[in-house]
Amino acid sequence: MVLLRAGIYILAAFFTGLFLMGLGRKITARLQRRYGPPLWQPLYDIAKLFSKRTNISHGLMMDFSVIILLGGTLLSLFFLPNPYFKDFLASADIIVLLYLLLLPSLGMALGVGEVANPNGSIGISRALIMLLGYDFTLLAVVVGLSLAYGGNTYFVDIVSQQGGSFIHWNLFRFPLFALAAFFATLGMLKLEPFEVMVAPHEIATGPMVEFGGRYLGMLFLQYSFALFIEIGIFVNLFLGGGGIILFTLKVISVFVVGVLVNNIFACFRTEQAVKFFWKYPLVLSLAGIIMVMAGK
Amino acid sequence: MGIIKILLVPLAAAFLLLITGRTRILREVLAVGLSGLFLGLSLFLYGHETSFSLKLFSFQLSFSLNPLSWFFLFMVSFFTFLTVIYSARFDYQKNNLSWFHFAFFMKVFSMAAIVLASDLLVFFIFWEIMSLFTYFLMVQKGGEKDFSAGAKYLILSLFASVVFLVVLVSLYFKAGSLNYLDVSTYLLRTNLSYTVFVFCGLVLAFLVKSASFPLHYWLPDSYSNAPTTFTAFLSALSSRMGLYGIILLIYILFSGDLSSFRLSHFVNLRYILGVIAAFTMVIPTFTALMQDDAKRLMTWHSIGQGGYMLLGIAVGTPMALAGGLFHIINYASYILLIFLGIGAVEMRSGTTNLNKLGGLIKKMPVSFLAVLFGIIGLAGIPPMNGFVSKWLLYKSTIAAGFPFLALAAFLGTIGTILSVYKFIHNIFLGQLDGSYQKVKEVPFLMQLPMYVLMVMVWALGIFPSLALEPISRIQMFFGREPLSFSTSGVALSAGHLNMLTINFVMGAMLVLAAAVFLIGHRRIIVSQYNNYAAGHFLDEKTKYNYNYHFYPTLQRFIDSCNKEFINRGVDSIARGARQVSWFLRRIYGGNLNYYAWGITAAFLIIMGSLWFY
Repeated sequence: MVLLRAGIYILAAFFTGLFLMGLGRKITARLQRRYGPPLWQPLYDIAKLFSKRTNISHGLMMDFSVIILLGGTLLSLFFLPNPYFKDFLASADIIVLLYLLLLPSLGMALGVGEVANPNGSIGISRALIMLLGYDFTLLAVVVGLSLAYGGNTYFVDIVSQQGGSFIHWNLFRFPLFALAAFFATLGMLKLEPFEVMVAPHEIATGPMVEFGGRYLGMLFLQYSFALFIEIGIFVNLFLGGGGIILFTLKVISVFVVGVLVNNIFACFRTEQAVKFFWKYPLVLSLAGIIMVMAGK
Repeated sequence: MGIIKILLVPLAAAFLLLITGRTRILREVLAVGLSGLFLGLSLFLYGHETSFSLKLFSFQLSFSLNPLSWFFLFMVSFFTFLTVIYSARFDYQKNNLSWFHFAFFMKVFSMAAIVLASDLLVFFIFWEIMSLFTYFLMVQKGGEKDFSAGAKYLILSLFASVVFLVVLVSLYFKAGSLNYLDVSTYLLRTNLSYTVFVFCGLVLAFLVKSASFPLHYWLPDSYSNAPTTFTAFLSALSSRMGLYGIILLIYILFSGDLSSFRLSHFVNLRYILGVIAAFTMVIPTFTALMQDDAKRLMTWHSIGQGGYMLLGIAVGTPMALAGGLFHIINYASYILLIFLGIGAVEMRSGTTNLNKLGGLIKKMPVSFLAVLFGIIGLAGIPPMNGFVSKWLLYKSTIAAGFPFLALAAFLGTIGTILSVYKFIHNIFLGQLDGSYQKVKEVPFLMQLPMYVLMVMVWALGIFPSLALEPISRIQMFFGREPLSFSTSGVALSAGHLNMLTINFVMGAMLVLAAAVFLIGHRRIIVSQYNNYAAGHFLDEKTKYNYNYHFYPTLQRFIDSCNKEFINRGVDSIARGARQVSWFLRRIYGGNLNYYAWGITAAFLIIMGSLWFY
């Protein structure tokens, strides 16, 4: 029974993520006055990639890397407050969750290192420097929020305290944190203007350079879950979580706003992105922390 | 009597190895056997509390065993044992091994004596012996660079000792005794300014030893020039002796609250230590990022990680103190593991230069795994032990109301992740250079300590209670409230950390991901030259690797504000001092004219001042 519910949760997260990927492509197309691919194109892409005949591997670490990538992402799925599966939520700590999300990145980085292509390593070097921008901003937001809740970092508590009317949402109580966290979420999702390490024009010079066939398929799979988790974190922190329908709607609306931002910005270089994060979102969240401290 | 037995073992080992050092088999069997005995005895002492004293002239030299000293004694004996096993097969370039073992065991002996001392005089004596033998071990290779690095260490150590001695003498005349209990009762009833004087003097001496910012710059040079097995041991334990001193100072000598020692309305000693910890966490970590030598990179981390321990000790809530103490043992386990990996690489490839290595993963898989486990612990990523102690520190720092200290800890962790990836990438990943085609894995006896430490790093991550149990005894010994923990995590009123659940879910999800991965056609394994190169042809002669200047963007950022500026500042002071001394030396030139001028000048000054009054 538990297994069945866990399976349903994984599938729900997967299809939500896939739907978002398809929706994003559709919105982008319409903004560019194209018709765009079918909504479920990402699913067809994954099926195609897994049925490829040539799967080039550079060694065991590369195989393990995609397994750690997907497995680690699925792991953090269970510690995100969600309306589907609550069995492990007793250990859902926001700091634990943010650090669990680093495990898949580390796995991927090791695999990219093993392919022995300098372009891949350059991509990882860029992606890790970006961590200094968005991850640190998000951590600053989390520090501020938990300070406001008396040092509590238990994620379920942070969600439940926003219950009742939408006035209680942290989006309205802590608008500075919300704005900073929104930019950090864009960075985590690798949307423009923070997509230099995985941008389409950087495929040959990014982490994915030697990943093809089902290796690329695993990356696609992982991205669908990552979309669900990373937007889910924002929804839980600032929009008060919610039941199945409400939660999904909130996830979709945050993503739509993200895609719109994605379409109006060009790509930042790495140091521009880090500078941007340290100049605006980080300063916003530090100001928020000072306001929380002054309010005590 | 347990204390004297356990102190005699490393002392006996030192002298026996000095005599038998020339025969290889005898030396190794003796070293491994005696350090094993040392470990066994210290394990046997768990939970005991005894004391012992002997009279030397008019001084009472006393030792005692308490939960705090047991914790450090266990670490010293355990990591000594692993280092000795590893170094049995390690390939030393020079052959003065009997001397090496003598100095090594003398150092272990003095470290054990320091943690068992219950008297500041005993502490001081063995502190000096430890510094002396550390110096001998550093210059053991005997190069010009080693001597200058050793001199740097010696000068800073002497400075710390002088400060220590001044405080000691003053305390002896004021309190009448140097026993911890007497000193502590005296400090409770004396006035605040004297207490602050004692505190600042001792903390200065200990901060030098624990290499805290801004007194840290001696460490990277002196540690990274020592032989790698010894760098491992030094990094894991030696600078933690300074931290032991700080814990002793705050929780035993000053049983009061740190924040009650106010220098002004806003500034108290807790803040000051917290700020030192914050700088120690951030600046050395980002300096580590810029290093091109594997040993140097990790020695910078041994400074940076000290900041986390200091943070826990300074914040001082039950959770923070437990986190700080837990981080000491976690750190020792994974840094030793990483250094054993570096030692293996150095022995087989002959270099620790990060710009020259690469691609060793297929040649040395065990060392790769060891380093991988170590860096996951060091970076504080679940499921390894470093995450648990860092989580305790983050959470307690936020809860105690220090959000900016918590942010410094987070920033330090991100810097650590960046630098450890560079570290493992440049050694084991990327393209394998043709000259390392014949590299082999190290012999089994050197792999054994790596396996032990890998198990330890992960086991402490799954069952933190293994270490939190003795730590809670320490907290009770201090008369503080212990941290409430469960078998596999930390129990809190709202939400708890359960590492067993995390590991269980992780295992299940990795199996699921592996099952998904197995869908589809067979994979083809290709060589590293079968690679995308934009149409260029790759072969053994083409260098197709990215490791030099790994984070160019960040380098530009950091160069403008950091780049070992303390080191440079100190160097310029040294240059200035040398110039002044050159000038002063000319007064004593052996030339009578100078003396005549000097005497005349002095005479004129004396006469002038007499006339003036």
